Amino acid sequence: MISISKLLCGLDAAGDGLRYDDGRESAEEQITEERTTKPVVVWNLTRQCNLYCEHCYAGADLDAASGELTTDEGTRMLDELADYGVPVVLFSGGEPMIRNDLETLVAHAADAGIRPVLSTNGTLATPERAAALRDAGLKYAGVSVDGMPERNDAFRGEEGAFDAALGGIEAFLDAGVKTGLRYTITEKNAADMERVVDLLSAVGVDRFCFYHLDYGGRGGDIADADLSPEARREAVERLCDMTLEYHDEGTEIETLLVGNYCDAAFLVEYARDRFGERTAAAIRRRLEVNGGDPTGERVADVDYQGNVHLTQFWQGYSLGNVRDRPFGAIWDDESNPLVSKLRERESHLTGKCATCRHRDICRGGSRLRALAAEGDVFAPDPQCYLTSEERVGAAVEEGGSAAD
Amino acid sequence: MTDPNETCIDQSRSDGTPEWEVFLRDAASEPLQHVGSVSAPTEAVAYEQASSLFGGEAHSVWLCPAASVARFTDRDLGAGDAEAASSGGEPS
Repeated sequence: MISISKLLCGLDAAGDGLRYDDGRESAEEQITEERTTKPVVVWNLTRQCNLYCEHCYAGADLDAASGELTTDEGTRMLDELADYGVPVVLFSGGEPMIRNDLETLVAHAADAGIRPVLSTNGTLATPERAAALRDAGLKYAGVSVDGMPERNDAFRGEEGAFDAALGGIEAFLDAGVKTGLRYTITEKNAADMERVVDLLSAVGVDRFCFYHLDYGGRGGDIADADLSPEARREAVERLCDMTLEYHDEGTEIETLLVGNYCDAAFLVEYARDRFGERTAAAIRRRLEVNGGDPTGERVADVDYQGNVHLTQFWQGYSLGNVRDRPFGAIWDDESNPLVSKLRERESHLTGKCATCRHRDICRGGSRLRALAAEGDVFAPDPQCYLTSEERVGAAVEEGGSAAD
Repeated sequence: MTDPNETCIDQSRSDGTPEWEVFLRDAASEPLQHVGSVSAPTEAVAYEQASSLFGGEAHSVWLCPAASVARFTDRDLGAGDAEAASSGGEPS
């Protein structure tokens, strides 16, 4: 995650220590006292969902799937994750609120010293359920909304999904649970971003996470509806402008970009244009600490059957299964040649990434998108929108054009 | 002689699309190594995927349908708690 509001506006947040090793100076209580090398773990509790979204990376379905980790298996896995030092577990799905043991698992994670957070479509979040999750120790609820009502409902396959999600957001806010937006940007909904922020900001949401589409699950099926590099650059620039405008007007919203670390390079260039070299250099130092795309290192995924994945979006390949080995043993096993190469990926990146001066803060972006688009894990990310000049500096390639 | 402390893990590892366990041999003199699994509808697609991930590394690639692998272990993550699975997984 890259925090626009932290980098451009200096807004402190609980994740500063995780993302920038900047927690000691933050005004917010930090997730961890020390920067950890252990991953944030996304746990897809179930594959079942009450909606059928066009872009679902988990390929969730309306029907339940067999082989879900049981409550008992889940609590034991949480203990193992805590022993290993995992700082955060993101309970996800499918729709995690379909499982009626969610509160038990959230409470167990909190008791074990893991920060429990939730990714949900919000439609099942009644006031009673939100209060129960708060009492269980839930620290954050991220609710997915992907456009204004008509567009969101078409995307999510159900009329009324927007209003139901809004009801869920209000239930979490009323229960006192910090609540944020999760928004996957595509060609179809990029135009709605500011209006959705305006609408949700008015009901009390102050955290907005914008995800670039990754090409896993059904997300891979709609890759042709992804933004062009030029449109992506424009969308990210608009989010930066919007964040600055909100802060200038005294409303300290938190805005984050997720899933395309070319954004890190863009933010440095954006800051250089508007605030000068010194600010750009300070932002770049924070992004160097952040370390670029976290796949296979600072983020991990455990699916509903216990299979461990390099990121939640990369469900088509599994490193192993927690029913066979503890998560930590699987994650630390660098005898797997793909894992070891991913963890030193700068030396394996090819094409324009190999000579990019920002590869230390981007690390090639999404390896899954590269694999999906080029059939090569270390090829350039097709979503890169940096210009030749931005990639190689003054020594611009002949004939290079914007966002090529 | 079977080990009474070992249990067979027989829960599904995939749903819909078959899962294929992937084994690599780096060089002719090396042992096969298990390197995870890929989801693919057919053996040919599974091989294509495994080759994309590991092709440059391997002398040979073996693929086995995950459902055909009997996995015996002394690890206990609570596999006997099948009742909780159904109660946990039901819609609330």
